Amino acid sequence: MRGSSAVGQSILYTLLVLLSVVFLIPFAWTVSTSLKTRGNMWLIPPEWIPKSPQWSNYADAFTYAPFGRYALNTLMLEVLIIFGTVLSCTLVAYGFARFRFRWREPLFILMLSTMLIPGEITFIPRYLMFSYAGWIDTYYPLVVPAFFGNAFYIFLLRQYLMTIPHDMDEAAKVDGANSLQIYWRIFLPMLRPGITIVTVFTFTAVYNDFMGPLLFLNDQAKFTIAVGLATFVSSVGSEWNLLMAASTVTIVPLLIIYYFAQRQMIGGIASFGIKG
Amino acid sequence: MKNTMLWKLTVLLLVLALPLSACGGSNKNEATADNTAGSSSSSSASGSPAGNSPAETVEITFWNCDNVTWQPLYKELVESFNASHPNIKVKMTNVVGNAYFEKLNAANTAKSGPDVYVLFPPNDEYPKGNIEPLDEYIQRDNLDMSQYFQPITDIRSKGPDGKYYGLPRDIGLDAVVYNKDLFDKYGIPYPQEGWTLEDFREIAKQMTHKEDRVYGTDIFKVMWEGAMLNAGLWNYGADFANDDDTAAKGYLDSPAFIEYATKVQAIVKDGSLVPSSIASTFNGDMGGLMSGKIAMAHGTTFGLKTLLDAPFNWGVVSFPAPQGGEQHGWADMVQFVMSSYSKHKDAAWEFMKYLTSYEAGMKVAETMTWGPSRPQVWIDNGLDKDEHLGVFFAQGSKSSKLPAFLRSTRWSESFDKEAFDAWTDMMYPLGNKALADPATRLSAAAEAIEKKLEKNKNRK
Amino acid sequence: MNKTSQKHTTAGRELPPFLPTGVKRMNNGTSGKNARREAIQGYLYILPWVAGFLLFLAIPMVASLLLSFTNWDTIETPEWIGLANYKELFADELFFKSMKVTLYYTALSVPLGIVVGLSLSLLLNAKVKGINLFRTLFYLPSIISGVAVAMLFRWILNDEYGLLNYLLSIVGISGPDWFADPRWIVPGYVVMSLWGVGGGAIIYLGGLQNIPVQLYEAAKIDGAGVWQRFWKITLPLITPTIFFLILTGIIGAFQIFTQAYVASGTNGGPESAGLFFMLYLYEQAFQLHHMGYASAMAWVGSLITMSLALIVYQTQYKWVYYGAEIEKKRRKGRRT
Repeated sequence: MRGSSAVGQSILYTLLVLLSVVFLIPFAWTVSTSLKTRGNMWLIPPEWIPKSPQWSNYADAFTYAPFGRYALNTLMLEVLIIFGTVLSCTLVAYGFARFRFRWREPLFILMLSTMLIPGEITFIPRYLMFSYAGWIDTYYPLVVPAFFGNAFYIFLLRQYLMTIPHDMDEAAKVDGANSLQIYWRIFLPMLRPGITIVTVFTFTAVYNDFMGPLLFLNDQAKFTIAVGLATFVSSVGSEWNLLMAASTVTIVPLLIIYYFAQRQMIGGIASFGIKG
Repeated sequence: MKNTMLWKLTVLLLVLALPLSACGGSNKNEATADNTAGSSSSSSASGSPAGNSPAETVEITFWNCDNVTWQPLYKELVESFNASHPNIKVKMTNVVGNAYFEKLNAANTAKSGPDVYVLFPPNDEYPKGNIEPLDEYIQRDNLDMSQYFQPITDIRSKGPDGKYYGLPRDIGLDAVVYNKDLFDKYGIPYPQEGWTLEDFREIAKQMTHKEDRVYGTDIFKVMWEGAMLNAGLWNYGADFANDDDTAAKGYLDSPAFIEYATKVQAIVKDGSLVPSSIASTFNGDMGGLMSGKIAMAHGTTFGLKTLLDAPFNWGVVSFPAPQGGEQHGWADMVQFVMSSYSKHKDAAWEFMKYLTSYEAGMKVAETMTWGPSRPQVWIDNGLDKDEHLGVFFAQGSKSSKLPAFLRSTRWSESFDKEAFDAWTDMMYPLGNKALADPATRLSAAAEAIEKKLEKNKNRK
Repeated sequence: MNKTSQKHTTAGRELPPFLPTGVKRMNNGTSGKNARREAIQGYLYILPWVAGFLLFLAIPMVASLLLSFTNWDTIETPEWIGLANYKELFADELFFKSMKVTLYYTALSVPLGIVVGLSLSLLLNAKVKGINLFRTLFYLPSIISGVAVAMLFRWILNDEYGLLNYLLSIVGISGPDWFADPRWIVPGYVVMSLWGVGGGAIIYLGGLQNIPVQLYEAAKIDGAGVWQRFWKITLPLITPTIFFLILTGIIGAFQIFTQAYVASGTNGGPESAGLFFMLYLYEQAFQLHHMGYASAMAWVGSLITMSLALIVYQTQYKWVYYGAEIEKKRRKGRRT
């Protein structure tokens, strides 16, 4: 929907700016805390702009944990997991959305219900399974399940797929295309917004996941950025100022990815028929 | 076209990524090879400790759960051990937060896991089977346990069966910490050693200035700082429960406890305890003290780094005690323990001995990341005479007890919520409710606890 | 790229003419052999998920179900006690309290989240210069660590110094003592959850993107105003996305943990008014080591939430609009 008039535009802008300020408060607090010492972090009333900003916190935070190594590990995990997730979730969503078979609804509901299971409850059996397979202290427990689909994304993609009318694929069938070709040439391109979302969310989830790597990996050289951040917090004393400094920097890749992803969402495509 | 570009890029990245994931696999293979080589030599040793370090190189794993700024000290200790013990290689992992215990549980269930690790469990966890008793090793090597802080080490490292299960990593000492600048501002003299709860009450009242939002104390707002981590309770002859947390009646509702609670209530009724609307903004270690608005707070040596950064002058004083009464010290102690599933127990023992040795203690004292577990280390560094640390140090030689919440897991199950709620109702009730009368409230809590104990008797 | 006939680009879509008519009702227009092939292909495509479920989820799920009939403290071997855990569960006040608290939170946060999220995404769909920057800014709070947000909110929701009560007081409302008052704890967490609503806005944006622009153009030509366009075009065509967000919202609200753990530990706040289900579960499983009891609790809690989700799921046929042709098929009673 467009704001056509100048008045409309300025109302929109005002609203956007106001909301931005509200949404930016946590971030402002994060940056402010990152520049404090242990002594003045919790003063009441809080100093939003610290009297003597400790820029050294930024350098310090990055010497304590080998974030360079962690970044490489994280990148590798991201590539593998995003690839596996997008591949498997699009295929499965295609199956649920476009094919009719007897157990379709019950299986779909079963899939939805798996989202309800708290991970903590299944953790020890899964750990034992992976331990038996010799996968503890490797990346396999983190990467392999990604190739088997993820209920949340399958559900999302299936919803998007169901809104696409059937005439495209019917026409293609008449032209002699089989289901795989229809998937590859018609649906994948049309699912671009959905795939973009899955990519962004998967990237964020993997990026922020510290429990997974921490629980299944023993060798510290294999840890990821999220684990590096988590090590600043412990039951006896946490280094909040250093953590905030590290967080501020590590958030940047997430923002970049998101920025490029949401540019794909341009609000209404021209038509289903004419696509490049 | 865009799609094929993306496809090619992905394939390229995958190809690059494969060698990295293979690295994970090969490390695993090395480790299993070591284990099979090592197990033949230690299988004879696992029954009774026969000799010292095994002949060929052995790798042992060590987990700690502390935050990242403690790791440099740990690394230094590990490296100097590895250097002086060429037959043993220690590999350390830092596992923080809740993940540490989840991972330990899972590893123990799989009968794998680290050879040495850091732990601070309720005492009755020790003999359950995951942790190796150490008496034979101690006797074999003539390790003199009196060289560690006593009586705390015997209290914390021994299980209910009287055997040692851990070697003390450190000592964490608790006392009252006060903001000297605030005292100077209002012209009140500092608290002195040998003070009583009545003295505390007087000082807190004088230090409370509502118009400046300054309050005498925040110690008594929750049970933890008010009574559990507080030697004052013991000084006044009270306790939460009996020796193994199987009874609350006669303890939580005893005249001694009621008297202590009444004296604390007097402090609250004076208005010297910070209200919850301000207290709920406190964050972090010793949040109240560090906000600059609290005169006297609960302090520990674990918060030393924070205290040293404080933008005000501070002092330390022991917990209040009745006139001429016995003084108790409150100390915390973290243990190094050995897994009973370890395949290299002798090597693990050597490592644990090193970590708690005088030599290692002197390294720790350089940064005081934690308090070294041997008093001699403190003395040789002059810390027993230090203006601040000396007061903490003195707590370590006073008589002490095992705090109620560490005697058994029964505490979490049957005692914790009841005791916590009772304390809250007496000292820090919600809204404008009146403070509950100690005698009746504590009696009700003891009843409720006894009921829970009965119900949970057959639970594992 | 396939070229398709131009005649299928108008707003009102027809069923393609080449589908055979007069077929067996069961298969809705495809003959027996084709239906079989379609079914086999369908099963093949969903095979990755099915295989993953069997490999990684089924065994742990069965294991946790079996565990729920035992007494297990993760150290000694589990001891079979039959239905004892379940009996105890149904007599456990705190369990019912935790379900009530969690359901209350779900009932508040899901609808609010949908309304606020949709409104926000409509705003972010505007063709205004720099909209990309704004979208990224609104996404920011949802990626800041949950722990940091929880700690920040203890400030914002403080009744004396807090930002929220300050803002309310400008409008003349005296704000409550959010985290200390049992009546206001759950609403406090709802406010916290709304902060991250920008993260979900992108899902709406994706849904909005699927709506062809010609529909709006045609409607404008017919003289429809902004509100009519929203009500008759945007809203119906975005119902699949809303349905997705309601279901995942219910499931997500059920699992709230990190913020509550940071704000109050496993204590659950005054009168346990903040004792969320996952907090109680965590305490039982990992602090008290009652793994058997915790497993039973996990199953019962999940079943309750699943029933709720199923009820919502069944309603989809009444209000979710998947496009004209599926509507037609449904009206004719055909399988979709």
